[in-house]
Amino acid sequence: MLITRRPLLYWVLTRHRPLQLLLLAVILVSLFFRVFPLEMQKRIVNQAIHLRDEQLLFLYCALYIGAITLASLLKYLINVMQTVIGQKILVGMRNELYHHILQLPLQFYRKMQPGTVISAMTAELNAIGLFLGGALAIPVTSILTFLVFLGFMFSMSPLLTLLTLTVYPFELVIIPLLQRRYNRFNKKRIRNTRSMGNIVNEAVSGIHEVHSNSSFALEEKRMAAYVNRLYHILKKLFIVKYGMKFANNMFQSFGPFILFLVGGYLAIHGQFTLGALVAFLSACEKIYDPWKEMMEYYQEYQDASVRYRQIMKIFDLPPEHPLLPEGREPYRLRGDIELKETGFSIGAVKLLDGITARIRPNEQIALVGSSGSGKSTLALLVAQLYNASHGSILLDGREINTLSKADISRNITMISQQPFIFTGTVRDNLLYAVRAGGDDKNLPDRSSLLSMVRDVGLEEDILRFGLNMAPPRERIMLLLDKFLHMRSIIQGELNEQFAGIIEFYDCHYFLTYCSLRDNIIFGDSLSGEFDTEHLPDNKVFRKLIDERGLEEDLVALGLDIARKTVHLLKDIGEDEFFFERSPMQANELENYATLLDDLGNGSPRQRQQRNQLLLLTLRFVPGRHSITGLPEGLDDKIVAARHYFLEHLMGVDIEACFTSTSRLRESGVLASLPMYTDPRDFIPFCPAEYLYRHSLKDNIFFGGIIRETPDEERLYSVAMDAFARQGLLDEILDIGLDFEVGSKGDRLSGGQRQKVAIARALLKDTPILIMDEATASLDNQSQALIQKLIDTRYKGHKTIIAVIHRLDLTPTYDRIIVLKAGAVIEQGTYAELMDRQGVFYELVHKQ
Amino acid sequence: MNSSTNNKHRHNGEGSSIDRKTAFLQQLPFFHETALETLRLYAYLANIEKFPANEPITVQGEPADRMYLIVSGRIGICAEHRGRQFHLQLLSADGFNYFGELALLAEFDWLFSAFALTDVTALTITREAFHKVMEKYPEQLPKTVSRIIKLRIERFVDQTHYLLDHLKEEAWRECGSEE
Ligand SMILES: Nc1ncnc2c1ncn2[C@@H]1O[C@H](COP(=O)(O)OP(=O)(O)O)[C@@H](O)[C@H]1O
Ligand SMILES: [Mg+2]
Repeated sequence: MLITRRPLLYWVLTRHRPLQLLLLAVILVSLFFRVFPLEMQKRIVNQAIHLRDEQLLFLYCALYIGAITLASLLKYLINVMQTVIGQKILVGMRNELYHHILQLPLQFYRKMQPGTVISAMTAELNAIGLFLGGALAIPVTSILTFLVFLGFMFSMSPLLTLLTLTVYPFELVIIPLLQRRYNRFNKKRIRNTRSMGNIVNEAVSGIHEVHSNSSFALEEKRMAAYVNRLYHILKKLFIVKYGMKFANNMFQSFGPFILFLVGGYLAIHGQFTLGALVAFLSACEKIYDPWKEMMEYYQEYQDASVRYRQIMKIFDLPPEHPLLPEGREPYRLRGDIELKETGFSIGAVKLLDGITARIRPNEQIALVGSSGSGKSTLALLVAQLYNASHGSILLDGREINTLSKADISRNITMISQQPFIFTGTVRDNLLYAVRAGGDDKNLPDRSSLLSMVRDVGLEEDILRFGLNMAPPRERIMLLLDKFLHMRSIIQGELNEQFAGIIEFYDCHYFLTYCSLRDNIIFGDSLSGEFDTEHLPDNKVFRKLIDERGLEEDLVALGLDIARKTVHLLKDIGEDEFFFERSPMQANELENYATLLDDLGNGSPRQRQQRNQLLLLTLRFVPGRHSITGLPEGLDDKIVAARHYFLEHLMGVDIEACFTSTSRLRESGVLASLPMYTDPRDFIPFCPAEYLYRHSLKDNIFFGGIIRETPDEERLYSVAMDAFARQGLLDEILDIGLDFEVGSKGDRLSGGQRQKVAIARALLKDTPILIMDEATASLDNQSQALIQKLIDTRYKGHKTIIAVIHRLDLTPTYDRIIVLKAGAVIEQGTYAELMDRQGVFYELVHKQ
Repeated sequence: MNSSTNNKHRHNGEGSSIDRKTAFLQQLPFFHETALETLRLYAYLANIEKFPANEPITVQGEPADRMYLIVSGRIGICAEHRGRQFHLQLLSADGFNYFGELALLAEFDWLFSAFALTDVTALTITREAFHKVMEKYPEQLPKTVSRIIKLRIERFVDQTHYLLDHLKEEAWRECGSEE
């Protein structure tokens, strides 16, 4: 049965039956322990107290409390079991529904808003899960309990029992009436919540457009309408809900009232024992529990089935093709495509009409035509993503409609006009199509992955990603030699060229293009204890600047920076550009202005103020921050403090650091520090050290950046060439593949996204490849690269249908099919079409 | 290689302070009418660039994005025409000289090349910095633009005279050497 046609109770009756039966058994046992205390109550009053028998009193009391404890424990167990069963059923329901939803035809998604699907799959299903667990057990138990209590009461006094029962029929009329109203509001609530979800989803997806148009008020208004409506719906919904509660409570209090009146009268007249009255009162209270449960169950059932029907209604559509072929392996096609009078309409509109064409195995076809002529629609038809409404499409002579999804996906790859990139790494995205094939063993190895990256022109982008990443330590450890080798190439072989761009770390000297923090600490701590922001409060650092008499100098410099920045930029506003040359950030200006006001002409005394000023000093990079200069002599003082810090406070073998620096400069050899073979927290900027918390780039260039100009670009490629010669690039590329692309590939450029999609498709390597303007958003050079790949590597190996806009790319194709207004108006080789001087000829000359 | 190569970027202490740069800018005719506050902002945003003798400073055909104010040294301005270099002008620090002022106003490629004839130190102001400052003081923009154009015309007259004076022999001399 199609999942969307199943009634709600289908799930309850067919899933986890043994567990549900066990639950029922537990409930029955617990029933006994719920009635038993009533009998004890009666006996305590009638026998123990009446006979003044202490022994009997203790016995009954013990039995009473034992039964109650057991009943509570069982109640607890029942709750747990119910939840577990409910959630188990829900897991199945959710998975099956998702399986169904994903397979729904593309046409369905053209109409469906994502917010609706999301809300249905998540919150709406959750609410049903709560109901499912007890769906079977609760009604059975409640009815049984009700009957048992009733029987117990009846055995004591049929008259009283009948009297207490009189109130129930009223409820049976009123509650369903209210419930029907409740259901109506509930449906409205669901629809309204979905619309709200869609509005939010659309605003978030289109946030670029919202910001660039400043359409905040517009979006808020759209949302506000739904928020208001939801408020009104919920208000009414809860009024009804509490109305039902009120009715329930009212009736509950009527029971004892009648009992006291009539039962009391009978007891006074000696027609009823006191013990029986006490027990009867308890029973009367108790019998209300199962009744209430039944009422609540009724409401929950109504609620859940309304939700359930609302969910299933929107997805009630059969999938168009089976996932797997029946009784055979998926076909391996040769790539022969035949279109016979193929047409496609939506409603009465014919988008494609009478398309007849034959594409032989390994033929390369260019599909051209003005936009809107139906090229994409045709591509989707061949990829079985749409179903032809007239005529037929044959793949290797087989009607396309008879093929399963697996047949298609194993043989056809499609690169669409706007490819989708998934959240995850570049690698995840590249392997997406291959992994979808289900066999994780035949994944392309690293070298074929990397050569594909190069083939589609992604190498430089991925290198950049790699260089800017700080891979996890375990990964670095394995490749440490290679990265240090790169560093020695830059600082040795390429030293002259890079010295103008990078100020290499050198323990002897003050570094103008590094912050004062880097100049003093001259290293990095894995735990982050020497990070700039923590430094003013760091004990070791405090001790250092105190012992070296640096504190006053550093605070004074901070004060100078603060004064000059505030004075110069106070009227500028929060424009980041002006703050690039000061260690102060635009958003800190106000704070520092207040600090200076508080200080007046005095000097900073409070720890808090001094720390704030120290922070500026520590961030200060003399070569970049033109806001002020470094006071005379402070550089030497800082270098001396650095040496003291490294040697005496951190225990670094500073002589070794000196010598290895000189050796690196002289002979390009990296010597590691002798003391440092064990893992440790502090890592000095010495030549053979790796800074795990910094990017690969920081580690390879290993110094302060002097300027970022086109110069750097040139040198950068010099470096990459040198690494390539030494066969080191693959490591960086491999790391770059783990770059996180962001949601929908937001952290990639349009061209990068397109290239990733092309590589992803080519890695799958199917006999038929359909490219729908796949290179349209690439620059000419990348476009040419991909084009070359197609007409060299894949010539004679793949059937290719390429939708192309740029007609100058068409001559290399075997044949060209020209579409106009949904019909083929010309087809033939480039030469034939040009000779004919028809529509194609015209198009070429117009471009 | 010795480690002193690493040392050539040692900062020049107070030499780069905003006050010093401001004082320098004040002397330039280009900034005669500019308010002190604005001048300090330019000084703050200006870069100090150093070029060794015989090195190109700008190359004809490359994008122009900054103006050069000569602090010290001598610079030759040449233009290539039909494969030959024409010497247009000689700029030295004593005349409070500058070039590339049009780069502040518009995006274009250098129409000429500038060579350092001696070691040269220049203050540079980028178009971005200029625009940012003008955004903050929009009322100064018309005056500044007209000033740039007037100075440009003066230079144009200068260069024309120079060319006319040297019309026969010297104007065809190869670049990179002093007169
Ligand atoms: N799902 C759809 N519903 C309605 N019209 C559609 C749909 N898909 C495409 N069209 C219409 O079909 C025509 C052809 O579209 P398409 O195949 O994308 O053109 P091309 O790729 O040649 O630019 C267009 O006029 C478009 O508006
Ligand atoms: Mg299209």
